[in-house]
Amino acid sequence: MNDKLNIPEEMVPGKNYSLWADIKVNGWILASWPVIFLGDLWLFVHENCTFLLRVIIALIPLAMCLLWIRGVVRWIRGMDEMHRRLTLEACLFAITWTFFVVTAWQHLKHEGILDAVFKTSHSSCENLVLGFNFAGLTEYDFCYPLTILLLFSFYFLGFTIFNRRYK
Amino acid sequence: MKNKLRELRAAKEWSQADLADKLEVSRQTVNAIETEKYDPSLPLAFKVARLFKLPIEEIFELEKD
Repeated sequence: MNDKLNIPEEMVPGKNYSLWADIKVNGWILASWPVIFLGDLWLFVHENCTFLLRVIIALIPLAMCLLWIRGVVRWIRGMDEMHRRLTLEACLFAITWTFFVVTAWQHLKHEGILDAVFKTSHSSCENLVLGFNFAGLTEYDFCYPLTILLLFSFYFLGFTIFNRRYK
Repeated sequence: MKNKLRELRAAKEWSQADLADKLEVSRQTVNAIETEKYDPSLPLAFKVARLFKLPIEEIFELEKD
């Protein structure tokens, strides 16, 4: 029975990492990334396709995202109570922080605060040695892949924080 | 919450993995309960009590503030 239990470490790089378990749980979300790209490409090439087809193609990645959530829920259900709690805490941490970062970014952008910080002539960021284009960054909106990437990053961070509590 | 799980397990000469198998949880969960870093749910506490044939309050004790 014990061998059948899922553990959160299966998804975290380390000695217990399982590529097979990772693919089973996160396969849909990973597959949705090239689908977004191919969908965009297809819509760009077929500009005159029907409205309904455009809607369907645009929503395919989100449908894949729902299947991913289903996989994550099943994975969490297969854990024992402590790991389930730990994973849910990390998920909540990730969702909350992703929501906060995305909405804060959009709000700051909407209020013109990002432009005021990064685009003013006396900005200290203008002559950065690394040459990051901060001014260009302020034009950026959070797209689906970046939001998912942010979600994963916060999940790993949250998992690391909460895992300490039970070790 | 304090508990006597480690002593009871040692008395039976079970490893953490053995106890985890019997309780249908992971070894890490048994370790977290023994080190008092995780309080088990009521169903799991009942399972522990049933396994050791003892009342719950003899295994788990709520600490006074």
